[in-house]
Amino acid sequence: MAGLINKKLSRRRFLGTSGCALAVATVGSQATVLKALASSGEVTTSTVGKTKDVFTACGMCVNKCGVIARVRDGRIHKLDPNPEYIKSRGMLCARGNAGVKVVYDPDRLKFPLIRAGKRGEGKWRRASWDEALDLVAKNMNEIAEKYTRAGVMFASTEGTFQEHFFLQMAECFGSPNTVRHPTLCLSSNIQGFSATYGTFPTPDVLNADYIIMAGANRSEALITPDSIDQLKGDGGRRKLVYLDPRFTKTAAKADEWFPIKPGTDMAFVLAMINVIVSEGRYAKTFIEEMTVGFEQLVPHIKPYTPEWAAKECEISAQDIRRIAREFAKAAPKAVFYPGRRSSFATDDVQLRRAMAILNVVVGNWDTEGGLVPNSRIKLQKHDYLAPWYDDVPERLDKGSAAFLSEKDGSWTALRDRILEGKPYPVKGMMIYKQNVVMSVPNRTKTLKMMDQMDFICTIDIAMSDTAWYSDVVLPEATYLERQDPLESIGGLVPVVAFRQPCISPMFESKPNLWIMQNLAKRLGSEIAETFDFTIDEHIHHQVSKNPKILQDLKTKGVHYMKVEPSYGLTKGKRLRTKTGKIEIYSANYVKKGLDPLPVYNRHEEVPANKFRLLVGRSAYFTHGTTANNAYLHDLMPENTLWLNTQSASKMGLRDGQLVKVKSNVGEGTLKLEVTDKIRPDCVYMAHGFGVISKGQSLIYGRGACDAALIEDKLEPISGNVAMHQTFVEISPA
Amino acid sequence: MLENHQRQDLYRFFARIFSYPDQSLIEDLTEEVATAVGLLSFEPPAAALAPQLSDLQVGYTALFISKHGGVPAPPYGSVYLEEVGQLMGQTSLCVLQAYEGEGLIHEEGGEPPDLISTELEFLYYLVGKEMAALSDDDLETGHAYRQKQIDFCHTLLQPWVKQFCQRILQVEDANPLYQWSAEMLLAFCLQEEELYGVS
Repeated sequence: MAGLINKKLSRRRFLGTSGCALAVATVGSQATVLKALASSGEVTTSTVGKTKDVFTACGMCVNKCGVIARVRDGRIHKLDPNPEYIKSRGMLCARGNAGVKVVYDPDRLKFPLIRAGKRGEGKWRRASWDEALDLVAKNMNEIAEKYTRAGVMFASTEGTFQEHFFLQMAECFGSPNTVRHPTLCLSSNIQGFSATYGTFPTPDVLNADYIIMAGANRSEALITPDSIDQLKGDGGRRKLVYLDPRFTKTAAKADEWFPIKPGTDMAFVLAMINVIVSEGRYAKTFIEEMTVGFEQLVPHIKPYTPEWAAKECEISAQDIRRIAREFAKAAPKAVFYPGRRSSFATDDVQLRRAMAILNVVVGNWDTEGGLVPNSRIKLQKHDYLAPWYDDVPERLDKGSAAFLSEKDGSWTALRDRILEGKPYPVKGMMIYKQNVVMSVPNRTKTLKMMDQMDFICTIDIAMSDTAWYSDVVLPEATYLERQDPLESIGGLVPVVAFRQPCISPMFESKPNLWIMQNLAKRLGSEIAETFDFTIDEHIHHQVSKNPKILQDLKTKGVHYMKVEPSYGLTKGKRLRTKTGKIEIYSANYVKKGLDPLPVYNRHEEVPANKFRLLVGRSAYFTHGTTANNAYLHDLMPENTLWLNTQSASKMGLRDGQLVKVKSNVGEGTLKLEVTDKIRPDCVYMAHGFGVISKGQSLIYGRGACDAALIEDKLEPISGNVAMHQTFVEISPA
Repeated sequence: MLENHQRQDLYRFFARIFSYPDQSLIEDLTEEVATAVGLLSFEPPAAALAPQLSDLQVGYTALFISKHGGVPAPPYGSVYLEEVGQLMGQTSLCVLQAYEGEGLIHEEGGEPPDLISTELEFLYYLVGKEMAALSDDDLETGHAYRQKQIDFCHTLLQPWVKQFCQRILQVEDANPLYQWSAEMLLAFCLQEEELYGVS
């Protein structure tokens, strides 16, 4: 160490000093003003010619696929898939390949920024970490003092492998008001399937012979390994039936596509159950041994005939009956795919219950090609003792949904109560990675909520719309610059992934753990003590009972214990439901005043001269986070409004013209795309455009924002939003 | 034609102006500007320059770090020199090699080496080495350092600095100091090109 210090001290700095005029700066004179270069006394080549390959995990979306970063001359030259990474079948998608651009984007966040103008005006000044963190701590403490510790909310989302440090901060600071992405995504799905099975299982796509997907656009809304596995079939036996109001890329790959009327998926599913039950095609022994409530299902399902359903969902009774029979015949290697994002409608939990029950009646539980409970590789948890505060109230959104997750909350319910200020005020926002302004339906309300905040701090890698509306913006190191903790990823073939820094963090960006640790020091010793560890200590603790995990990660970038799924592990064991069995009929729901079996209720029809706005994904983009990526932007520079050819013709609208789209809560302007790939009563636009932040140079002023248009309707069982129940008018712009 | 010590001081001046502003710059600004104007026979700024530090920091951030419509004038060479317009391109490595070839260490670890102020600082260094050699009557070494300046400027600085300055000038609400500095840097680069032409 002494040698290093001496060497540093002996370096000659060239540009000296304040002095102006003609003086040549001298060594060791006054405080240096310019100091980027110093003499080492020897000619070096620090990076040139040096190469290394670094195992890490992708951070561009939810999937965390295995990556090998090819680092050449100190730069990340290319990202390749890790062939050992079984979860992604050794592949990497367009987004994964474009990850390099995240690091080297001139628009990336570089230094802590403190707002210098009005909120949202876009005037910032660069600050030191000390100044920025002092300001954050001061505001957090002031809000806690003036209101309660619950007056600071913490919004975050998964994927960084460091979110738990942020949640630890929330808990140790003493706020119950954490709000995460599931109620903008899959909370209704988790609730519906978990109420039935006691867990949220995974479909064994690779081994299924018959798959039905409803609105789960796996060819574009990528989920590994399903997106890859759906395209393969053992000996060509696989049949994929796909229901979607849009002709997506999954529709193109499916054996059969039905442009189902939105909001009627449950009618289709109930009619399938009706056929299978009434024709005695159900798995009798399995139902007898493993389930409760079949006897209530039989009379319940009777009215839901294919003929009835055909009128609702606009798929012929003949097709429904045929598909039901084919499905039952292929069982148990047949699966009605649960999907992932399920924020469809206000009855989504009951739709997922219906889907779960359909899977139950064909007996595909915990068997090859069916629905299989996840396995997970255990890592040791980081334990800490959170400080106790006496005066902290319960979650602000408590009671807003029948089954509300304590950690995830319900985004729109929480926002409504913040706006009401009841039962208590929330005046501070700490945000980690989540782009709230782009993601939560009804953007006007979100901005109103932010307007009433005393303080907003956002930690991100880019100037998102949410960062744009903040008071302090803290730059996180990107996923290719960080050492992240190990992450256990559950599934049919569970893996452990990790991230290693491929290069040092650029500019002054820092990992989330560093940010939390240095914020914690300013918030008090009790909080700081819970963060008193290094990332290396944390990782070694995670593998303390199985060091081989870390060895595998270092040598092949992934750890797994098996390469084939295990089936039947739950056979003969109690499930995590109240009865210990699969609950077709839910007595638990009765207690909450909910329908114990899914009851079909017709949704509001599309009003005359309006269209239903559909939400969907593009394979190029992850929510609102990647549209400004130059490589991906080249593939899709703006979003368009899909409108059916007949509808456009009736309205005299032509392909490519600018149109105004207006809902009850907002409006936007974008180009029209006239296409046969959508039902005449629907329109669709890709998510992630129409941004407010002018800090996203490639996409600012391009396209429209769906979050500005979508009404904030709530699914009352899970607290999920309902994103497909907004109607819009279209007119020439 | 500028003398070497004048050139060196102008490189130092521009390197300082295009670094993130601090209180010492505010204190020295009037004198610094007057000297630079005198050296280049350039028009002084239209309005008297007495900016508040906070205004200058906001102005710098808005032009070079984060701003409406994205960063209008990223101060990194590779953004202009390479087709993909990203940070840390191949040319950034060439710049780093040039520094390291002189036995220099780039100490701003997180910042790309082709930051405008660092490149200007490097030229300040090369001019200083030329001056030192010439004062020792070592003409060969002096010429070698002049050639290094020419090579660096021709390949790694001049090809982008004009575009960089023009981008600053295109920003209507840019801080006047930076607009004026951009114009003056353009004028200085023209003089340097002429000098290199006769070298």
